[in-house]
Amino acid sequence: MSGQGTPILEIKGLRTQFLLDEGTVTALDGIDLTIYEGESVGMVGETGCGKSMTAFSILRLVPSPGKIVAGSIKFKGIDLMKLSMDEMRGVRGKRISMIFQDPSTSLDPVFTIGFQLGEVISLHQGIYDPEELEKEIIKILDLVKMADSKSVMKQYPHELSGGMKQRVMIALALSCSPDLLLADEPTTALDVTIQAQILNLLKELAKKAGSSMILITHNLGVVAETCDRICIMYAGRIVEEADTKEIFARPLHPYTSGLMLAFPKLGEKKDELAVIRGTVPNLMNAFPGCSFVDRCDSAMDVCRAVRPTRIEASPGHFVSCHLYDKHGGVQSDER
Amino acid sequence: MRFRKALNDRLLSWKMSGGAKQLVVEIVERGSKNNMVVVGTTIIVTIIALALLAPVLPMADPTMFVPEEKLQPPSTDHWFGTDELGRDVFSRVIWGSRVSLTVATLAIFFSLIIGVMLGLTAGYFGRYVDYIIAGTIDLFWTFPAFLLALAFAAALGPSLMNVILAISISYWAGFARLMRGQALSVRERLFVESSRALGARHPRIMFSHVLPNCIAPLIVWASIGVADAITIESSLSFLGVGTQPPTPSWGYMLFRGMTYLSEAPWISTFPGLVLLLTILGFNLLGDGLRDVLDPRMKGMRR
Amino acid sequence: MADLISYVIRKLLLAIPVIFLATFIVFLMLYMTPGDPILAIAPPHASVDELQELREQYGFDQPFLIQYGKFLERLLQGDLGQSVSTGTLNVDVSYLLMQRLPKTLELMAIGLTISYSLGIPLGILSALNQNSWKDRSVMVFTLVAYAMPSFWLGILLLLLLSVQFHILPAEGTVGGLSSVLLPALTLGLGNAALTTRMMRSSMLEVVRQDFITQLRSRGLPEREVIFRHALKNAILPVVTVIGLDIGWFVAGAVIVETVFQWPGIGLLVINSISSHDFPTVQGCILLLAFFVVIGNLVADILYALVDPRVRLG
Repeated sequence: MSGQGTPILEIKGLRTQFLLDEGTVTALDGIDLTIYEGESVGMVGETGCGKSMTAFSILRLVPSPGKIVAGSIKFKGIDLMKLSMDEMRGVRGKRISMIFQDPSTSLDPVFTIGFQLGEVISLHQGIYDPEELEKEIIKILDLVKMADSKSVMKQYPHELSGGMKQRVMIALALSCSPDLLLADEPTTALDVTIQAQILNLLKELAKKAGSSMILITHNLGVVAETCDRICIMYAGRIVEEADTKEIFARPLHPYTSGLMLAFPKLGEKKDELAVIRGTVPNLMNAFPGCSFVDRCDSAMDVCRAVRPTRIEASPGHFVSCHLYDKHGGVQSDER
Repeated sequence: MRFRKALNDRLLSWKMSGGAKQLVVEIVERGSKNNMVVVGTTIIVTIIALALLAPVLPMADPTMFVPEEKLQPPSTDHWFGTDELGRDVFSRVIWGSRVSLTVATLAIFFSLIIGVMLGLTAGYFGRYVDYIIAGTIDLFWTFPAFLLALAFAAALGPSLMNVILAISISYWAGFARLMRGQALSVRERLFVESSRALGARHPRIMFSHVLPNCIAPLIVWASIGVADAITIESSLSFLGVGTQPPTPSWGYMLFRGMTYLSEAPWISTFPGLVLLLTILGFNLLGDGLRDVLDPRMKGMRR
Repeated sequence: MADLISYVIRKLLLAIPVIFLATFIVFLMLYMTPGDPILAIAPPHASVDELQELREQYGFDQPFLIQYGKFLERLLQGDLGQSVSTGTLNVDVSYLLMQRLPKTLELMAIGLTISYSLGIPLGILSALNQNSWKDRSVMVFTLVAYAMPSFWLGILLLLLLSVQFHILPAEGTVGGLSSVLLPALTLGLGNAALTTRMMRSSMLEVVRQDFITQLRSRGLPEREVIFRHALKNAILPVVTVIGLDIGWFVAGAVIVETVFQWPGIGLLVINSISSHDFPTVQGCILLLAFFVVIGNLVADILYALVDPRVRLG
């Protein structure tokens, strides 16, 4: 499945840092990621591992004092890093759009839904005629299965429920049929009962529009249902990447295995990450080895000294871990 | 008006913890790192020192007429010049500060007492008593203190004591608001915590629980209050319903100076500058302390 | 809509006790005056008989509450008593007030305009350039302008503009807009400082919020994100409480009108105080208090009317 089709997004060596008074925090530490046309990729990891920052970096919307310090982000062959701010704006919302975590804080509270949708539609599609615009707005609201689109149009965000707001967010994101959709925990802030609805809607509409999707979540269940491929992120890096089926069948990285174990099976109640001991390392301290070493049961001496490189363990299954680094000279000696 | 409201609302939301001792430590430690607090305190201390030292400073008598030296521009003899009656403006400004500071601090002290008492009473009794007091607080809170003070001062007639009285009965609502809010929440807590609800309502326990939590917001409000009271006092004196001559007062000096604006601008310029500085000093102190003492700011980098 | 109507009615009802307090304080003022209250409202040099007649007319020979009742009754009929100043002896106070009212309203309206047209742009400028030299200078300006007592500011402006440069007429006796500018500026500057600070902090708070980043992710140009979305969010809480400024302006108007001899209610009250014209003082204070009440009401209603985020509970 992976490696097929045309790549739509190629990220190479992406590093994003926050320059604070206390020191430099490396939020993203050399991300390599390729997304192909029409596929949906899940990004899984704990809070603060850099999932959302990857999405913000792709749109070049890293909040201050953060900065992309290295790497390239090629979107359909164009390096986004080299675009001017104006050109970048032409990409945002039109070619790549993003859905935020919390719909209740993502809509401008003092403009109506119709206004906000209309604004984006006229900006990216050049539709200015009020009647035509209204038709278009209603069309897109119907598309996200909004009941009574005509009245929703005239409503303000606070008058809608969380699920309805997230539908509006999806409508905003998909109004211009983007090539790539970044969905940052789109269901986390919602009621459990409507999470599945929203997720299915998102999947269905992305497929219909032919958009590729990066689905960011900490919930393996969500990606298992939705995504073709999964990237596991840890401390600003992608530690494992493979097709969904493959990764569930054969998790390689100790962190991935930990996540799988921590993932509650049906009917079982468990604190999600409790079984992985320790906490996420402080991203401020530069450390030469593997950042998972302190929490890893299979840690070796080499893990402390040398940062593991990304290797292709089997076709399309990438992992960054010394356990699989069969050709690494240093490691075989130590073993 | 609304700025005061915003500030009061913010102070009202403070959830303080720790005793008076810790508060002093906090004010000194964090305050010394806050520019506003440092500048404000410097201004205030300087002016208070000058006011206290006025009798021993080598200055001319502020009430002495020297007709042959009238309307003289600033010089080494008269730093701030002389007024239309030949009195030394510098000396009058310093002596005037005694009046302004006394009136303002006393007025704010009295409104603090009224506010604390009413706020505590409301919190202690709750129910109907609270309903009535809260209503009264709201009513006084609605009107600008200056307008109330003007009405009272106009009725009472101009005198130093009446100005203090007028400001006190116009300014207490802010203090009462802070105190009542805290008292009500403490009362609720005590009722929940204490098995003997009646014992918990003992006024002394109320007092000892409520007051420590209130000190920080009350200090901030009092500092701003002194600035407001100085403004009100000088405005009343300027309008002729406040401090009466021959007592030197900044507001009245400015009023007299207006007549000689083109020929002797120093008569009103210098008192005005010192007045502005004093008000600025107390405002800065209040604003700075608000930032320093805000419990939400604790642990945050400033 | 029904929500809004009941909200407005509720607010209107809440304003009634405030008006009562104002009338009560104004009535009490009589009793605070040193000596027999009747002396305060009697014309100068009134004879003993005339005093007695007045006493009966105002009910001063009856219990306190009845006196207050009579006072309220007269108020409801629009009777505020008669002036006892020598210049306006026996003229209805209500007539005097109506004569002066337009002048004060003019001053306040222009002062309000100045304070907002100065404060809002300065606040935005400050917020968009946070911690720059522009921001710092604006903040210093607001500190000073806010601490500045309005009479002292008025005197300074008079000194600078009228005496030194002959730019604007110092006294408000000549017609035209230019004569109102100086007093209105004096009145508006302190409030401009407050508006600046509020606008700045409101703007800073808004641009930190998620939806601003969301708007950027939709590809909106930066100027639209800031000047359409962020601005509307930030400006609403600042302008909806415009009514609360009335209190500030009422207090300021008394002083500013005195400095500039602007013939409004404020000057009338001060002149009446010095000529011991107590009925006029009462009338003025009552009218000014009424302004404050109206201002608060306007603030409440605007708040609910303009800002879609407000839920009417």
